[in-house]
Parts: sequence; structure tokens; C-alpha cells
Amino acid sequence: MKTTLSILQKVLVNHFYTLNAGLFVFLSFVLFGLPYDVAAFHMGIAIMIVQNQPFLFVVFAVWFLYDLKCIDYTAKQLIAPQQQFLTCLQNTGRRKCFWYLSFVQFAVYLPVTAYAVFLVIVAFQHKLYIAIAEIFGFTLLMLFATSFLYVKVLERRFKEPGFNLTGSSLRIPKTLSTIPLMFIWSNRKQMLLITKFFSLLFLFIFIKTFEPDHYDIRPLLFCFLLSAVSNCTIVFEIRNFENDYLSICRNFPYPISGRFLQTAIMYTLLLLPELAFVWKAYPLHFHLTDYLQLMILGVALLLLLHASLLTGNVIMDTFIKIAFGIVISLFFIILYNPGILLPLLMLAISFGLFYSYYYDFEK
Amino acid sequence: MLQLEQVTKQYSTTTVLSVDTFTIQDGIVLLQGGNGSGKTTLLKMIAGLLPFEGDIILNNASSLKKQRTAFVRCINYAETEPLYPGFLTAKELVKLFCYAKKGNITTTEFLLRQLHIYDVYKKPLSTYSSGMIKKLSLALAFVGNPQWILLDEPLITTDQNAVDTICSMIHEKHHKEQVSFLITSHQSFNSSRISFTSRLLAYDHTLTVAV
Repeated sequence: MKTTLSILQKVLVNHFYTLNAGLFVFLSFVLFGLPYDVAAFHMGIAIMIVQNQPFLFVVFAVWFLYDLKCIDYTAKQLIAPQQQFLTCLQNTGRRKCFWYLSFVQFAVYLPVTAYAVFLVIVAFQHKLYIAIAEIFGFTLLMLFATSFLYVKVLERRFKEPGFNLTGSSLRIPKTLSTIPLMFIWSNRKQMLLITKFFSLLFLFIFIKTFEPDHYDIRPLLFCFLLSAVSNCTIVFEIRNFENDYLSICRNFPYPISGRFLQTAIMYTLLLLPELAFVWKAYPLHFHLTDYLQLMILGVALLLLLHASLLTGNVIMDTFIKIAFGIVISLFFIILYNPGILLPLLMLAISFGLFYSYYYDFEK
Repeated sequence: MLQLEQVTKQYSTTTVLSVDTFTIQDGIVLLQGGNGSGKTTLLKMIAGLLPFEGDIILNNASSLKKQRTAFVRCINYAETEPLYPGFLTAKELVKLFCYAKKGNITTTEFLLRQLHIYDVYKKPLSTYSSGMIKKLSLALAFVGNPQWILLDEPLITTDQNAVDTICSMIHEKHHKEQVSFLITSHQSFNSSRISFTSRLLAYDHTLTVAV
């Protein structure tokens, strides 16, 4: 039993956290990295959640989204050809198989469970027993219903049509700019939805809570930068996809400037929700003339991240450090209010990296 | 004609290919050699898929390093084990290749009919067998107006009927449009429809003309 759990831990759980390291780093930064009293802030939020039923249901909705992400990942792994050996779990009997897969679900759902325990403690201190029962019931439901779903997925492994949460592809023109986005939409839908949810939520909270006493684009620029960098795991996935499936496209007779433009179009499309949502901040946080700066900054950041992946065999862990380093550097540069020069400089650096490494990716 | 000049390819510290100067004459050329002799690496280098030291010149005119876009416009390549996004259909992939290589969609559709995979033209590639994917990649290698088509093991995973069709396609393209072919194969071409103009041997990290 110990060996089986160890294998499941290595094959499914560790891989899940490696794959989503970017999201967790981003969340940790948002939840614990901002300059305020962290303990008081979280205690205040927790009290608000357990005392306010609609707010509690919003939290349940977020947890459910995270559970969908777990389901998408685990179900896909269970039916992946390279994980075929996991079908041997069925030989242990249905009940034991259920408990093994419960272990996987418990491990990948752990961040939510830990927060649920924190909320239960807070609710207990305030004698809010209904909230305790609701949180307890919801968490157990997510843990066990999802584990049961995994058992079903494993049982149906070789049956058509199989387990599919992704839905059909969108009918949009398939170009080198849209195909990687189609991949994210069809194969990483939960990652995309959760990234966009948190990215837009972050923008929303900033727009609603920050009221400047005089016009200054810099706070919004930094907020938009954080919102854009939350897409870094998607950038990583896109680059891997290009490497695995679109390497033949290096044989296409496109000049390097054309390829750079295709990539810029792709990231503009990816950032469309943020670029549209940021209009909620108009005219309080930015003027019409500054929108271009905002837009180029977001796209240039993703291009820079993409270009950094061309420079070598960059693993997720290193990539997160690169993304973090870039954002911190940009934060200090933004403080000096360089205007449109900063995004233009970022575009120039990205193009330089593209030019040097796109074909010479082994140097 | 393809001229290899001071071409060296290394993976880490291992030299896979080291060619001082070598000319591959136009025609239907068979490239032979054992496993790991650098055949696929050479094809990928000519197709512009792999970086390397040195240069490759096409018809004394365009250099892969200096006029890359012009060079790769004249070179098409079909991989040994092609990998395409499963959510795309063959129709979408043909459109993508025809747009990039300035090819004719109807001509490619005709090739797919010849290879008996046109009936699944609008289905996602995830539903294709490896043989069907291989046939699709071969049809895509004929897109546009290439001067050279590089085929890496074109006969593996294909059925006997397809082997004859592929030989006919190569023969026709060469004789009607003067397109040259560089083909690697461990299988023998038991077809009267194709005759190789020369044979090359990849051996001991270099290239020689096989006698």
C-alpha cells in the first residue's frame, strides 16, 4: 500500500504541483506578498466569509472551479497512454481503488482543504455552526464525489467516447497565431479559465478598492503587469506545445519578423479579456492616451517570457523565477515612470531574443 | 543541387555529422546508413529544423544561413514520425501548409484521394491511425513549388498499396516538375515506378557517394 501511494504521489500529485507552480506562486504573492498585515487581513476576510452566506457561496464557487481543475488534470492523466499502468489499481478491488484515488484527490485538493480547516476554526470561534456544517459538507463532497468520479474514469478507460471535459474546438481560422490558443482552449481549458478568473478578479479588486487622489498611471500599470504575468503558465504550455507539435513550422518560409508578429498577435488575443476588462478603470485610473502603453506592456511582457523560453531547455521552476525576476525589475522601472519607452524596450529585447534564438535554439 | 559547406552537427559533445564540402546532385537520391548515422539529422538540417555549424547552399544561389526564407521556400520535408495537434483536421492542416508554402489546396486534396485518406479529410487528426498521419505528412511534403523534397523513411507504417502510390507520386513530381528528392529508407523500394539517380551513404559521421 505504501508503495502504491508513493507511486501515485510521484506520478500524479508531484506532477500536478509542478505543472501549476506558476499559479501557486502568483496566488502566494497576491495573498501573502503584498505590503499589509497578512494575519489581520486574512482573519478579516475569513470572518467576512463565515458570517456572510452569499460570500461563502462565492468561495464555494471558487473552490468548485479549483476542483474542476483537479478533475481535468487527474482524469486526463488516468486516461493518458503513458499512465496505462495505473489500470492495475482496479485489480485491488473497487473499494481500495477508491481510497487510492481519494488520496490523489486529497493531495491535489489540499490547498482548498487547508483553507477550509482555517475557515472552520474561525467559524467555531464565532459559534457559527451552520457555516461549519456547510464548509465541512462541501469539502467532503468535493473530496469523495470527485474520487468516485476518478474510479469511473479508470473503469471507462478503454470505452468510447471516454471522459472529456474539454468540449469541441472553436470554429476560428487556424493560423500559427491561433493554433496554440486552440490547444490551450481544448486541452488546458481549466487552466485558462482559472487563470483568467484570478487575473480579472485581481484587476477588479484593484479598480474597486484603489481610489487615487491625483492621476497616476503607475499603480494601474503595475496591477496590469501582475494580471498579465498570471498568464505565465499558459505561456509555458504554449511554448511546450510549439516544441512538440509545431516544430515542422520552422520549415515555413516566414521571416523572423513575421514569426514575431504572429506571436505578438497570439498574446494580444490571449490578453483580450484583461485588455477589455481594464476599461472599467477608465477614466479614473488611466487616460485614453495611456491605453496603448498599457496594452503594449502586457503583450510585451508575455513576448519577453516566451522569448526567455527560446533561450534553452527552461523547466517550469526556472521559468517561474525568470518571470518573478522580470516583474520585480519592471516594478522598479515603472516607479520612474518611463512611459511608452518601457514597453517599447521590452518589445525590442523580445525581438532580439527571437532573432538570436528562434533558429539557433541549441546555442 | 545542394552544397554542404563545413557542416558540423553536434549533440552536446557528440559529433553526429562532420562534412567538409559535399554536393548532392539533383535527382532522386537515396540516403542510406545505419541507425544513428545522422540521416534524419541531415534532413532536418537541410529543412531548417535543426541548428548547425557551417552552411548549405541551394543551386549556388540561396544560402540557408543568409537567405533562409528563400531557401526553405524551396525545401519541403516529411518527418519519420510526424506529430500534429490532434484537435486539427487534415483540411485545416492542408490550408495552413498551402498558405505558408503558397500551395494549391485542390492538388493536395487530389494526393489525399490517391492515398485513400480523403474520406477522413474533415475529421480531427486524433482519430487518425499512425499510417494515416504518415500519408498526410507525405501529401503535405508535396505542397507548393519546392525544388527539393526530403522524405524521411516514407514507407514505414504505410500499406503496400500506398507504397506503390508514393513511388508514383515521387516519379511524377520528379519527371513533370523536375523536383529532386532526398529519401532515407531502411525498406527496399520494390517498385518499378521509381529509379534512384544516386545513392549516398551516411557513415562514420560523414557522407560519401555509394558505389
